[in-house]
Amino acid sequence: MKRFILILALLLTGSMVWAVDDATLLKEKSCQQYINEIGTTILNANKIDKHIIFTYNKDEYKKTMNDPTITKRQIIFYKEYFKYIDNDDEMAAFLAHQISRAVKSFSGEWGGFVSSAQIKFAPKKYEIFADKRAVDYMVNAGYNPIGLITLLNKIYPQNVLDKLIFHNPPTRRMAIVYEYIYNNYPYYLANNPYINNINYQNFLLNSVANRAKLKEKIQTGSTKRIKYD
Amino acid sequence: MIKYIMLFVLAVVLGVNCAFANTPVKDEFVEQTLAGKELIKPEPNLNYDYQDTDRVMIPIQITKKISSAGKYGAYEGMPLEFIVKENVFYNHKIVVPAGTKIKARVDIITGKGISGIPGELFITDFEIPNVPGYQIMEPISKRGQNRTLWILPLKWALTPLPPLGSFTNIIFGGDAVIKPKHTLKLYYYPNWI
Repeated sequence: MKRFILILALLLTGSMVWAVDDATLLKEKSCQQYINEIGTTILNANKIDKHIIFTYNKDEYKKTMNDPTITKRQIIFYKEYFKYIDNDDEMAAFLAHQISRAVKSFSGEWGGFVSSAQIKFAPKKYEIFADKRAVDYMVNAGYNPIGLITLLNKIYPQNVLDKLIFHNPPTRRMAIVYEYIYNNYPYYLANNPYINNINYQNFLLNSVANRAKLKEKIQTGSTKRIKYD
Repeated sequence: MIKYIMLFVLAVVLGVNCAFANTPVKDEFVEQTLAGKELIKPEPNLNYDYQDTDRVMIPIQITKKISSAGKYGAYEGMPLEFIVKENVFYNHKIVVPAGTKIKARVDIITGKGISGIPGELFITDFEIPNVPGYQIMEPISKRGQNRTLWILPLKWALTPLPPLGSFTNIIFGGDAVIKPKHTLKLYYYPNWI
């Protein structure tokens, strides 16, 4: 009898472990499906005829030399990024930026090897390019491109050494994205559902000087590139 | 009595806080420059069907020389004009006759960079008579001279002799140039919806 109870207890414990695993697996699967749906919509709506995949990773993000977006064309979305994503537009913004980097890595000589190396050599240049292209991708896929501004405002810190290191200050990126939306998709600024969003309001607050530069450019009819802070 | 006074004070404090929290910063720049303009919401491309594989190439030539920098430097948003170089056929019928004028615009310009990175011009919004935009594969791009192709092997060869390998970083790529004699290829998918 004792042995029977022991075996029963063991069996029950085993099924509980399975139950937990199933729940975790289902949760991960739903995350993966959510990312796939938005990512693939962007690919299809933009007629991107390259093979790019999306992978949800529940592990912690660790910075490595290898960037799978441009080497494997595999866009990895780490669990911790969910902390910054509040809606579909912001998820689309994250994926669209990565998709534009992945698409760029297909172009050019040696099967895209040279382009991938160039993205590594000049990340600042291609970061801005990817932001602008991400806006196009989002609009074509039916997402609001203002989501890219609110995401950038939340996710990237303003590093003291931004002028020296390999990334643009987020304030500059947001200003460039704002200008790109203003020039190409002004509808979204004139009919802006994000106007009361606290992150968008924070962007408006921290971009007063940059937006004044854009205002001057528009008023003078200049075509020169603005040096945003 | 004190309880009611405390409640009243709390209500006033909370009310004032809420009122401030709901006072947004206005985007006056947008209000001043876009107010009153008739702006159309861009139509997303969500009703696609990519079953058909038919593809037709449209050879086009620009009417005025442009480049990613310098004397002929283009700017983002710059309107462009192209001319179709030769008749374009589909199912033995001319779909775009030679000499047709096509409007387009410069979408994104990336400048040349260190390690031989070339400048690049991206062109989009092609307006071809009788051809809907969603049946055209765009944007198309033109790159300058890609010097990374020989700088990379040179850099690797010179790496054992520091700092010679690093000197290759200062070599820039070429500007992207589109001249009227250049023929660009635009692809048209006549059966895509």
